[in-house]
Amino acid sequence: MEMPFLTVSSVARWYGPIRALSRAELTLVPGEIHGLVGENGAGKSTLVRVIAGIEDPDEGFVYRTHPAHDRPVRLAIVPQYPRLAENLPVWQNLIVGNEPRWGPFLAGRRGLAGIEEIAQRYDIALDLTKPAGDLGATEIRLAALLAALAHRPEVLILDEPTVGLTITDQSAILNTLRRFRDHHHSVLYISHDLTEVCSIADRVTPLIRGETRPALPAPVAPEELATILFGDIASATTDAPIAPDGGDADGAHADGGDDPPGEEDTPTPGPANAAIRSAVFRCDHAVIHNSRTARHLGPLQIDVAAGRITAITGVRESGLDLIEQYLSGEAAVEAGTIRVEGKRLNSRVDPARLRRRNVAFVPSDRFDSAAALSGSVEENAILQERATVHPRGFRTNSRAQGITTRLLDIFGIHVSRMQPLWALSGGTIQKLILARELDRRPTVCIIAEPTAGLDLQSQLSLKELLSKLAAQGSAVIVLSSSIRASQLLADTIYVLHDGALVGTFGPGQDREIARAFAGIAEPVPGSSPSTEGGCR
Amino acid sequence: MPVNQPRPRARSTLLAALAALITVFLVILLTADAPGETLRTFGIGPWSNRYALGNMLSRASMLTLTGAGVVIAFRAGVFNLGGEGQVYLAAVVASSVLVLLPVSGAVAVVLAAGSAAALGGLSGWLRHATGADELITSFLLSAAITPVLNYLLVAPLRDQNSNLLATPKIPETARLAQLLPPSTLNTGALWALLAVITLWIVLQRTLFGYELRIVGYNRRLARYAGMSVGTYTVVPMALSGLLHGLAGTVLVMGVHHRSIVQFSGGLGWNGIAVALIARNRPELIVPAALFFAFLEAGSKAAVVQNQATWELGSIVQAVVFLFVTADVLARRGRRKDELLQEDPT
Amino acid sequence: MMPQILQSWAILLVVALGGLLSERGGILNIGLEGMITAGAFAAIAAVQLGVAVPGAVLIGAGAAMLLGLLFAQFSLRWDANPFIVGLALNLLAAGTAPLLSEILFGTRGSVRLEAGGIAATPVILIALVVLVTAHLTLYHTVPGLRLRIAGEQAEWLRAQGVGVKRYQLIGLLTSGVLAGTGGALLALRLGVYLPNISAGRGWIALVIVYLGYRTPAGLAVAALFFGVIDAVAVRAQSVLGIPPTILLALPYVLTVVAFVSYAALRRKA
Repeated sequence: MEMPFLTVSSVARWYGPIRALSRAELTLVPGEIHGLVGENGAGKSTLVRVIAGIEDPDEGFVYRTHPAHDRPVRLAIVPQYPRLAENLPVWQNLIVGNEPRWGPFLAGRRGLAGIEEIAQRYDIALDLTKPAGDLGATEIRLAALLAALAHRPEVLILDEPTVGLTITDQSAILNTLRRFRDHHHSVLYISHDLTEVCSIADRVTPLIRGETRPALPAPVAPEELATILFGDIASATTDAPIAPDGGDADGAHADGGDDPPGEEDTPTPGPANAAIRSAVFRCDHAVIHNSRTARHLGPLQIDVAAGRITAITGVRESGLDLIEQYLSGEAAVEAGTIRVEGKRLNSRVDPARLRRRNVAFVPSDRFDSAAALSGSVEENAILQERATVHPRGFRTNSRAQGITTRLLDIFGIHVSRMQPLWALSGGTIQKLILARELDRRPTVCIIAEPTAGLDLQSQLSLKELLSKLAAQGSAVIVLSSSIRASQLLADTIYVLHDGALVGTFGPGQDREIARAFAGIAEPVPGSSPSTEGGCR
Repeated sequence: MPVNQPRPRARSTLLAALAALITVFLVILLTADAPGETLRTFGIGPWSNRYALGNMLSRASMLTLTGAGVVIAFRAGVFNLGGEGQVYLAAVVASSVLVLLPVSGAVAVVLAAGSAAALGGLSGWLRHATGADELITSFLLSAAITPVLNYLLVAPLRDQNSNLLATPKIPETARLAQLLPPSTLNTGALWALLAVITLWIVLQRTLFGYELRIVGYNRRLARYAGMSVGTYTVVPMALSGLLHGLAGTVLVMGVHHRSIVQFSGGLGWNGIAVALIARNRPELIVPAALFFAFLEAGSKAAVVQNQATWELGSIVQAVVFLFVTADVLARRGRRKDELLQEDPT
Repeated sequence: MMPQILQSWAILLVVALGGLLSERGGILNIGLEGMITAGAFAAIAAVQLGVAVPGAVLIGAGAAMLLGLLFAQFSLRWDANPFIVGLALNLLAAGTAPLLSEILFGTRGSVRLEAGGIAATPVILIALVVLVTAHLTLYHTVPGLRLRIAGEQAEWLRAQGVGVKRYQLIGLLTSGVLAGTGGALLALRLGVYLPNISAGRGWIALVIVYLGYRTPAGLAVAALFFGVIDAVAVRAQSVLGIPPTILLALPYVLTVVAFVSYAALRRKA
């Protein structure tokens, strides 16, 4: 094998107590497209940052010396959702960083010609003279690719470059990458789409919870990759003591407050079972569209009955993020309907109005939009109960304390009520937010990335809490990019891939879920709403 | 043009206060003929007699009002930079109403504070309606109204029998009682204490105060929880104007008993400095106001003793402003917001 | 009246171009007012102390550049709020000039040059040179390109491996140099340093930046508008009898109107 451009050798990287990478190994040789695959949260982005030198590894080494010349290898990263300076022409955005000069001046014509030449060489069709603000979503991606190529790199790193693009545009980008490789350069290609990776990569390295597996040389079968990536997950799931649907709820968490959320009626599956027949949350041919990113999801056919816990899973870029954007008012329902208790939701919603419909929604960016980090624990805790805490507009200390204590007890958090929130660990903040939002017995309760930042113990507490909620008649929906979390928490699992719903499964169907998740085409037993119609 | 809300950190606050003191010392050492004597005057001048002490406390009471005005806006995440103009407007309204119309002091207070509240509220409304930064519009509106008020005092409202560019004196009945004659300390000081206590109760003990704090912490969170962010933009700005207006009213009804050209200068700016030093906490406003009143009075005493004519006021303010939002002692690298991002991807 | 207009135009334009350079880098320079004061005082003081006029202009520019450096140190390095820092610089200049004046000349009032003011022609010429240079720098040099991207999409610039703060620093320093030059020219043309000599020109300069659509050529046109107002205002005082003190409010009123309309239009867009 040729001397590599880049070698990653037993790299470990920690963020506080969280280990993002351990024993990561990777080599990039000239003339290869190297696929890097793994779940969200597996550590891919961390690995990229370490490779690019943006972060230093805590252990291990990254060698970036060019094998033929005694200098660092030239490396360029193509960002996933780049934002260009919109008032400047495209080409000016692209030359920045290595602008040609003429004396003290910018050699504009030469710069434009240089970019045009690169565009031609790699067959990228793009109007370089119009303002960057006029570019469409696809063109921005192409511009970012071109900008990276303008740095004349030897190594190109791309993170999910084809998500949300049409087939034509996808293959245009893949062709560009092949041309680049054929110039004796190399590409690190990060993707969740195993089929796509297997079709383009010369070698593929799987990354599982911060650890790499040995690179597989082409041809790689997507099934083989799926087994490596998700086989692990399936076995990890079976370790966890998963109680069947609301079974083990005998109040391990004594509610300290004076108003515990239905302690007596917890283990009563009767009303829950009766409620199952009516779908409380229903997507009917719903297509969600975000005009800014020009991405679509759907059509979705999802029914969630009261008393059930349903997961919608897929990589975030599969469209999972679009559901969340809809719930926070950033994306709209373009066709079809979404109903709660039979009543249609607006095509654009806002979280406050959803709450009035008794729909609880915990966004995945809860640090930014569902918490006041400079506020105290109590200030954050009483948010949804503020009217109760302030009867006739004035504060009742005992109620504020009672509610705060009750919420803290749900996950057994031991902190002072007056501590500022930022002083707590990320996991504790997550728990507090979840407890606050789930405390009100919502009709529908939607949680994005519920297990992010929670340790296994807390995940099990969450599971118990959700089961309790379901038993009380809530329809619980979990949006998770983790198969494991979906299997742990839910009794029905919808899988999204590439902007479409590709199957519905029970939590036990490890293999089927993993294949659908990874986008491996296969007639899936159960249900499989068609993916035709080009709704991407 | 995004302008981030300034958030004073505890260590920056201490540093700012220290820097202000050091600046005063340095300027005195560099300029005074007898630096030792001048420094002594600076240190003990304000405490040396009943008159000086009373005047310092009187000044502190007005700074408490303007400081409280800045704090209530701050806590809602908005910023009132128009304090100077609001104080001046209320003062001119109070004096002209009392001189020209046969009304009671209470009516004058309502009109004066109300006009300042309207001026402050206008900036809040502009922010809400057009997105124009209230920080900038409040400053500009204040700067625009100041020359107009100056004009009123030099021409139509001027007391023709006086050498001063000032209105005639207000009736005795409308004056606030002196607390420590012959100093200017008056019952307005009780207003200031009452205002701070009310502010504390509103902020800490009411639903209004709770929602105001949440809006101030994180507007996205407030929207998520269904609060009316617009209300908490306009009302705190109006209340801020109101408190500044009260300071202007005290200046007329308690201290000077008339409006004089530019006589309210510094109350607005120093109110901001007081609020920043108090780190926006109502319970720290009074100590911060005392600190600032002491700095002012000490400098004035030192200057008089030195027969110099320069003033330290704006330099001290500048130093406080420079340091109070800066993180001079920041450790490079990790910040608390970065530490929070535990998602390892 | 024409020379009056051109001379007001020239000084406002130079200051506004200074405001433009930091604004395009993404930092609104609220401290222009203080920088004008610093430039004006330093230039007059230099002439009084025996420096020739061209040297005095440079000293004025240098004094204001120091304020720009202070701005950068606090806002870029120490993460302070740029608006508060800008205000601090205005207060600092307003407080320091009389202090130095007291020390150097024994007065905190006006400092008058015996030789009187300089001619208007060089002032106008300098403004033209600055206008052309600013245009060339912004659109035809590498730092200019990077500055514009730093102000508009800093993240993109960073992704291309270029430091953002470095160009913002350059923007702030140039801003100081130009505002200081404007202040120096203002004082030297009048032949006197007066307390509050800037008289809101720093704020007007910011309005000109927005009215002029943030391009040097646009600024030249917008500054002309204010040059005319300035000249007319002088007439209005003498002919119409409008009290001069009220006219002092005009720049702020216009600024707030322009600022609010700009914000409203932006929100609509």
